[in-house]
Amino acid sequence: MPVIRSPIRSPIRSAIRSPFAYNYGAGAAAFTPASLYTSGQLGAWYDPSDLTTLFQDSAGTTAVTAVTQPVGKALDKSGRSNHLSQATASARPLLGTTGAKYLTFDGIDDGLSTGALTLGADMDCFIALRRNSTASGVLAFESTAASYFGVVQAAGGAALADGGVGSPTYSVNGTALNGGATGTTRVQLDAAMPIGNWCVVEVKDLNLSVGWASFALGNYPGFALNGDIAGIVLAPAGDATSRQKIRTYLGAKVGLSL
Amino acid sequence: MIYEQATIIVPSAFATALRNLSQTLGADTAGMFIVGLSPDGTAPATHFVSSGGMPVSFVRAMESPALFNSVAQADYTQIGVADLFSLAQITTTLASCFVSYGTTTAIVNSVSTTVSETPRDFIARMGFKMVVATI
Repeated sequence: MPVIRSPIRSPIRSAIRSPFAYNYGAGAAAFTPASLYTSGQLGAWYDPSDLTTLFQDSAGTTAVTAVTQPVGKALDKSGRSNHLSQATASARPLLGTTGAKYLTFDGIDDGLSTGALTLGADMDCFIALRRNSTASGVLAFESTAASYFGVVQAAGGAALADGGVGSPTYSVNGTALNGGATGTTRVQLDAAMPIGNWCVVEVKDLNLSVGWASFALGNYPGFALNGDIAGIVLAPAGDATSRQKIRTYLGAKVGLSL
Repeated sequence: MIYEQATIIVPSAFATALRNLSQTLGADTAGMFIVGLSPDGTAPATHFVSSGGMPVSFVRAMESPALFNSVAQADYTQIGVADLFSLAQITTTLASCFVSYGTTTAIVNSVSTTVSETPRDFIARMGFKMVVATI
């Protein structure tokens, strides 16, 4: 019987699975952000769903193996070795899993940052994010806090959602936020990111070539992020097709069809 | 090293000494107590907070003046400074610190119940707000 079953089941299984596979066309390999860096492009890619990239300590010696364990180091999967780390134990985010796997930042002092790195003059940053409170926050910054982007503030904030990054445009779940010459405001970004809901935030055409000697997340002074991050892709600015692929990829990580 | 999840609030006058102390308990405790708190969220900070996984030895020292004192003595000897606190001072100071392990008691349906508490909830329950910065 096994001799008969094997050749019959295989093509049937393939026929059934193909239409539903995460794919971009018949015969095409599924997209991953790795393809964005194949020619040495600048940037970083962090993927908390890949536990082989997470360590409890900043030296990277003790693997993260279970939910609620601290994350002291997160490896960069872009190949540029822009790994994130946190030397202070109490400031390490935790691995969370509710559906997706993600890093959860407590909104007090949790944060991760890279060492010295070089970034480009026209870059995109995609972040799969869920805010857990109405607290103000900064999505990403240079670790000396001299430059930043993605300031989320419900009221009373300055106009721009960023500083030291040129004039980027913002989208949330593929929907462009008002911006243009004056830039997306902090209040607009806050309103576009409902508390407790996953979203994919896109910050496009960032100029990170000046003043970005590092890349940091979570603990901007006075604007600590109280939320979860399920993935980050920082790469040279792409065209609409490339951006759609990244958006879809990160959305799928958190159960969104984008 | 074994870690324990905790949120600790300390008076600002105590924060610097505690930072020095914590560094002798492990290299990965450097950088604690740098987030400021005050009753109304305006500067200057009256207290500082750390929240997250901390070495168990550190957390236990925060609960016990005698243990804290012995650790402090070793600490100050190691870094070559005179003892900054007597046991009596440590006892008084620790009494003005607040520690949460992620739960508190609340009255639910007229019954005292243990409920979970986020670090931000704990800070609010203690009557503090994070000092607001401007950028």
